[in-house]
Amino acid sequence: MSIRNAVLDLLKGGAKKIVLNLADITYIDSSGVGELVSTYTTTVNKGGKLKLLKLSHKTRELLTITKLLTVFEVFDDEKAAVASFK
Amino acid sequence: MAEIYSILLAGLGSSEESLVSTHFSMLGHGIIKAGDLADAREKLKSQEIDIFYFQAAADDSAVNEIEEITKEFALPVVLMCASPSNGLVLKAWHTGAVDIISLPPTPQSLDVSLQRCERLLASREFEQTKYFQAKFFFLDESGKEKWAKISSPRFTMGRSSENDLVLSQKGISRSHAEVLIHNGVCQLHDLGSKQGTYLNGIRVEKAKLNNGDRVQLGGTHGISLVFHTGDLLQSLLGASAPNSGIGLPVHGFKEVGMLFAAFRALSSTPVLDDLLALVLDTAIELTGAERGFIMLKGGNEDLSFRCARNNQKCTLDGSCFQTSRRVPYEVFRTGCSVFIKDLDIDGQPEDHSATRRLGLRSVSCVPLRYLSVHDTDNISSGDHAATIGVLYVDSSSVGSGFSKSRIYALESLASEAAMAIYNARLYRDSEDKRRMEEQLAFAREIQQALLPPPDRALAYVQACGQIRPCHEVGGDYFDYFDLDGGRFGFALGDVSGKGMPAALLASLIQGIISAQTVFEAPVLAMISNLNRIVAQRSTSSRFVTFFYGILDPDGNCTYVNAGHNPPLLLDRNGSMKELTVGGMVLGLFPEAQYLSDTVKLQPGDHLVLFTDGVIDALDVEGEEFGMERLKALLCANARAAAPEILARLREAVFSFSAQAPQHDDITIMILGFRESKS
Repeated sequence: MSIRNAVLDLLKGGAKKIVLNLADITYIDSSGVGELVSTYTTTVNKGGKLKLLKLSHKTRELLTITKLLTVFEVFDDEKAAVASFK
Repeated sequence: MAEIYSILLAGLGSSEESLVSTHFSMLGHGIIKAGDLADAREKLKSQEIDIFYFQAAADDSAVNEIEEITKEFALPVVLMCASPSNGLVLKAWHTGAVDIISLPPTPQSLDVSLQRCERLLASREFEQTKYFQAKFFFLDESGKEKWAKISSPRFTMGRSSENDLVLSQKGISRSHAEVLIHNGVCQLHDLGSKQGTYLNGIRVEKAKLNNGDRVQLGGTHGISLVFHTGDLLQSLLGASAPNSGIGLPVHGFKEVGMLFAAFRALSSTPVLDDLLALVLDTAIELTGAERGFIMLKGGNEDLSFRCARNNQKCTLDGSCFQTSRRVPYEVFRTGCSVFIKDLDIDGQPEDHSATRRLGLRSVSCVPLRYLSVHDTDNISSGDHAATIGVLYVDSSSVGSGFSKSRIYALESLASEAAMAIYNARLYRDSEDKRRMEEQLAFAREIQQALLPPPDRALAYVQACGQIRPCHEVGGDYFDYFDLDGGRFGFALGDVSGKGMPAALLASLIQGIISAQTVFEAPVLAMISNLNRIVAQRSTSSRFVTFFYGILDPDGNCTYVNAGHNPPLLLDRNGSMKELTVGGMVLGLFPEAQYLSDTVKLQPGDHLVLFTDGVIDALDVEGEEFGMERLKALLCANARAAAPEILARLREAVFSFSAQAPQHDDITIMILGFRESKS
């Protein structure tokens, strides 16, 4: 929920290019994944872009099983992530 | 407890009698035993007895029996009875019981009741009285509360020292007025005073005096005396004719007794509305008011009427309770009591103009405030007083004065009542909680009933399944379908989240799939439909992982895996293949695309389906059950029949995570393919 709200605040502030650093997320459950996708969809609907950075092993595994990994652009390096917005 | 009391016991059964008597004599008190009530009376007459503990022959007769005692003897009486009803409690304290203990008596209930008796005995207002006692209550020049007993048939008042009551205030004539008592009726006479004698604000020459009347001598700035006939209660209830009143205990004793009995009743009255009525009735009697109401704070911090009563114990409709709201709102806001004795005289009549216009005279309004003690962990804040509402009583007849003891009694009642009301609301919340739990239990039954019989055996396949939800209901589900051509369909789903919301969506999905299998929709179309419907009908973050498969008698299995933990195709030798083809989870992207795949099963092969609750099950160290353990177990049991594999897997997961709380639904389904004997 807090990720969602943080992103919404950014969007309200006019941000359009958002990189979400998930390095600190060691554990994520199904609700968390749902929130992540919902946040992504909201961003896209508002004309923005959301990319993921530094997924933990568990997070990556969960996104793989649910076949949601392909929805996101995922990076391991922050500079690369930032640079990817054209 | 420094005092030693002489305690009389009567009417108790032998085991209760020995219990009570042992308890009190160990504390040093003297015990006198009586058989029945008549015997008790004899002993009360002949001996010095301080306190009377008494068990009535029957609850119904208890009240009358107490009354007989208190009429004749003014001592604290504690009633013991099997299961006191609220009605009995009220009646009992009307007639003078100090406390009521339910049987069997415990050391605690005995100690508490003794304490209450003690307080009464220590009260300075306690005195023995046998007869109808009239008196005046007033404040002397220094503002001190005074009682003047009318102990002769003629009671004179005036400036001269020959009067029974010498008053030297301004405007008092030498021989100002007198009260004559004849046949229990009290009459006030003005003796030709200069400034006049007023009764309840009206100048009189001769008038009958009733309990609570206010007599003013010497005009509106003269002295105000409030007339009492000894028992507020009796006159309010109109229970006794003036000349039949015998042996009524003194005013203060009665007040305190009322209070304690009300406290006792409060703690056994969990239903909020009953409690509010009891509190109000007690407050009305304590103050001699005509009527009163209680307002409580609602969720939005606004005060609203919750109960209104009059002095006949009838409920009034709060909405037509015409009174100024100003007083109660102020009391609520400030948390301070307001007592207005007489709006004609008290300052600021213009502030309470609405109240005054309705002819109201005396108003008492106290906050309902309880002290909530914080956890010992929280050292920063100390005790915290919370105001949950107000208690308001008013009367158009002149208030019977606001003695300190009366004010104290009312405020004590309000404080105890606030706690009791708070508890009653908690009780109501817990009632709500209980009802909710009942509904959940019901929902669980329904969800269980929606599931297929967990085991299904066809000629060529043996299926068994099991769900253990984390709460009463959950988001995991599975289903079996009998399809055309002898084929067997099976589905397993896991709605994200837990509990009721997940369960509701699971039921919806089950319904949609069942309906579609009836019409033999192509598998991919079915999954696409399901995805679209779930996306439309659930929140943007809710999704479902789903696996659907169709097995035919030849062992061909067509399947779609929508984001679910890949089921395992386990062959007889223990090798495993993951079934991953399909697409993403259902419910997030309505236009998602799906693919299907087909695998071939050989006789002796098994399909093992499970939800992530199995893999993610944690033990007490926080370690996951994990895929490794799962695969190892399956490998070791590859030759067993489906039900056995299920049982062993179930045992393994449950015992692994036994010490830790379950945090997700755990679902397993195993299909065993066998040679069909045709």
